[in-house]
Amino acid sequence: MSTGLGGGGPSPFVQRVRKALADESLHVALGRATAQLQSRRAHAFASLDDADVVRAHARAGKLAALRTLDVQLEAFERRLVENGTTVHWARDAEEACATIVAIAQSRGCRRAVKGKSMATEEVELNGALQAAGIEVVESDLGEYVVQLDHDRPSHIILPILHRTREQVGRIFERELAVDYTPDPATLARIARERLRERFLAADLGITGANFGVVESGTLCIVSNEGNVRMSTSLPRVHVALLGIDKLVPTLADLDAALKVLARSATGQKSTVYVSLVNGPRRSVAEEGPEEVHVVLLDHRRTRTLAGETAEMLACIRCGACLNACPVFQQIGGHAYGSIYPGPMGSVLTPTMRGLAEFEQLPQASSLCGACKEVCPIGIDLPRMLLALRRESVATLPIAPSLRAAMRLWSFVMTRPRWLRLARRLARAWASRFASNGWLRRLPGPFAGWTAHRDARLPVAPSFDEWWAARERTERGAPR
Amino acid sequence: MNARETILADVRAALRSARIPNEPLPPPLLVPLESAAPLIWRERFMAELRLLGVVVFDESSEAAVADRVLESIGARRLLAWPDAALPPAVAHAVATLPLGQRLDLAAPRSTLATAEVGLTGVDAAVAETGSLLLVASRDHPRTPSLLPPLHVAVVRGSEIAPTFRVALERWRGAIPTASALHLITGPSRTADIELQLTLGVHGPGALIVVLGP
Amino acid sequence: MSAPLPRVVQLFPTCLVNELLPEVAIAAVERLERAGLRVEVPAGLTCCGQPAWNAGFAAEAKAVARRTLAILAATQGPIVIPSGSCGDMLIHQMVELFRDEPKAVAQARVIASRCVELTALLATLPAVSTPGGSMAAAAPSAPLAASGAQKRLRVAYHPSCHLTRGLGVREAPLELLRATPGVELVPLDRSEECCGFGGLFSVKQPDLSGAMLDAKCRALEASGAEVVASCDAGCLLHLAGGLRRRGATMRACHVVELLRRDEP
Repeated sequence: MSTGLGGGGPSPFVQRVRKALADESLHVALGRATAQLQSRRAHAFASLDDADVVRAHARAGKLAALRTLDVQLEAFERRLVENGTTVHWARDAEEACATIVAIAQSRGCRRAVKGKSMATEEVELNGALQAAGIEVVESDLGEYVVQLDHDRPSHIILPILHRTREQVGRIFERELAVDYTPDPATLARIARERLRERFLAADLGITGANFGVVESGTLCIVSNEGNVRMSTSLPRVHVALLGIDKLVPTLADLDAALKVLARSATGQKSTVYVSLVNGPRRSVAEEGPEEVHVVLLDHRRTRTLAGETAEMLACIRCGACLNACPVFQQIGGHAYGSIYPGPMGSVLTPTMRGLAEFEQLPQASSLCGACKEVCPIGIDLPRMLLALRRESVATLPIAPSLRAAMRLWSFVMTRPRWLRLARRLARAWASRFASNGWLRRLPGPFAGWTAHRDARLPVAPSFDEWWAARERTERGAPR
Repeated sequence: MNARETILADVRAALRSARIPNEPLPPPLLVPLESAAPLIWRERFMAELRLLGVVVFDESSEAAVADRVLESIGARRLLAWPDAALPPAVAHAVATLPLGQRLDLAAPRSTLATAEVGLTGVDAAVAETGSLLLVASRDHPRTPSLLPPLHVAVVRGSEIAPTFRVALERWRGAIPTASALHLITGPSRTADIELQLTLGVHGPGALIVVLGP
Repeated sequence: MSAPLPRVVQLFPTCLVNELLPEVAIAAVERLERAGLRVEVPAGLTCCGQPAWNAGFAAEAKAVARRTLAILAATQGPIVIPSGSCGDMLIHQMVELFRDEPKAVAQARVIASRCVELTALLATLPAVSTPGGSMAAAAPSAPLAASGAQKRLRVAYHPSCHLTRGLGVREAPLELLRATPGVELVPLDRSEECCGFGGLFSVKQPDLSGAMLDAKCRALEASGAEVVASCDAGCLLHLAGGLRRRGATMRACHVVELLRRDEP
């Protein structure tokens, strides 16, 4: 693994970045979508009374749940059980998949429909179900396209942000044997018809959850299409997989969180369908699942909770930081190499999956702060990116040249005489290569700069030299 | 240790070093709409519905509501809440539909799925967002507001709450005795393909609200 | 009305301005003195430590920052910083850098409370007539300001990230530019989007940084501006270097350099 300045070939991350930057249609799709999502979000918050107070309440609820997470989890479990829900715990992806497969098999479920869920993406549940002979179909339109195309989602809210309508039309033509059409309405109608059969035949509904309300033992799951309502109402068994970070203490906290979630994600005042699931149907005469199972997933969230990155677990997965991020706007989601892309992913992925493998993600930020500005929970993402960079320096074998350069910089910057010497050397060297005070190519580790821009050279006199001269002439004596 | 014990132990260990800012509680959330007159709620509710593309009928009598419901149903195959859960005038009107037009709620799901229009009341409505709150129960089945391509909802003026939190407060008793509560805000929609808004993906693509006195 | 005694301000030129853009600090001195302030430049200042801090090298950053804090602590009065990101380092990041050292944090807090970004300060100074001409804050509609002889320079303003999102300075530079008769402010599409500098980011992730720079340069070119103005040395070097590489004639300069254009 190569880190920092110089050494080795381009990392897999850099290769993915280059591929994404060279993809002109991706660039167009991203530019249009992120600009539109940003303006919708801004518009939605402009129409909210006391938006800052609402955000503060949403933040307070999430942080309150985290501060006493162990107690909250136990209370949530107790309430769920009282409501007739069966609770399972899963330490990691394998345990989560095994638990859900076991539930399905013991209830004789063969056909599953899934609502959009990042947690199930994270543990790669579909593969595990299919390996166990359980048919599973994604019911969110975007996720359905991803599944048909054997692709991965590129955005946590809009899974096929990277696809044009023409590409979706070709995927449908190829995978569903329908006539080619690039018309989104027709494509949605085809998906509705195909998935309707699946919903009616399904015996297992699988969803994630946006929030778990501790005080009432309620799962809150939102969707615009209605697929989550289908998945939680039609099959006889409903399984919800949710990370242990999804809790809010009270229904009032839920209210504040919902207000900011829809506005941040899609610019809506409310998502079309907000399902508050309290457990299985209360009588055989009622519609709804006979059984509801909740699987509480760690999958290294406890690692994120430790130390500097704890606040990241307050994330409500709205995607606003992706849309606002100038880096995401350039490269899209796939380049991050994780289902959690953008700024939130650059904190989550290294903490959950290992800093050594994903060391480049916290580096891939100009620390512009756009993410923190739009985050409805006010999560200080730049602070955590910096903390992860420090952890890289402290624990990883980063490039010796970078380490040496930083030591030298620190040495010189604490010794003005050495700084003046360095300045003289730089000027002497530069005077041989520069034109008008600018260079087209810098040597060694600084070549990255001149790959895209000219470099300004030290100017004589520097400001301190000018000041000293002025002091001498105007005020009589040097200071 | 089993998974539960491991996770709780790991959480406790992590919390010892977790950097979670301790911040003062924010000031209480004041929503001007909540202290406004119910008439304002009604106006806001209708305005929000129209923004969502919902067809709204503002009726001044139970009889007019019933007529509007019949007109909205037309000759379409109907899946409706049981009579007891509908306003009496509406239940009475629906009873006049030709035999066979209204599906039996106990019919197989494949039959229910052939419904062309769903008819429900609501348990509450939310003015601030133009939302309908439906509390699932035996008498308030889920499929009429879910399976058909058109959903007709009858809302009484007294059912309108200013905000979701007031509606929740009103229904606090139903949580968690009800298996589920559903908040519906406009017709089913998606923008997954190039952010192009498309109505009616899985849920009803059209929503009619008949607002009574 | 008696004139208040000239107040003393400390100018922290910052490393990039000192070595690469001295004209910015020189213009700053000129504006501050014309506003009746006495400018001092603390001897021996180098850098705030930001490059190492942003790269994750806390020890190296601390060594530099500790020295800077000590030098500044021995001075009096407001500390003026002509670069948004250095201002953010002094005002917000130092406290984080020294989080586990209570004494240093206390010192950093005191210093932070004295720091002010250059344009934020200039915008608060009263319009004072000096023999050299009217002050920056003079209204553009004032008859004296209408200098028909001077062609108005089309300027696009790039609000740098740490200035706006870090320090919350959004209006001051714009007010100053609007009040400068020789300047015509032109709108810039998606102006608050990062130019892609990001310190070492520009060297470690050149492709990403370059793509962001390209997007910014395209917006600048579309604005029809002759000059892009900003309040951060890093962004200015980045933008100027990028514009040169593209063969653009547009110049990049600090807002303070343009305020001279209030002179007839």
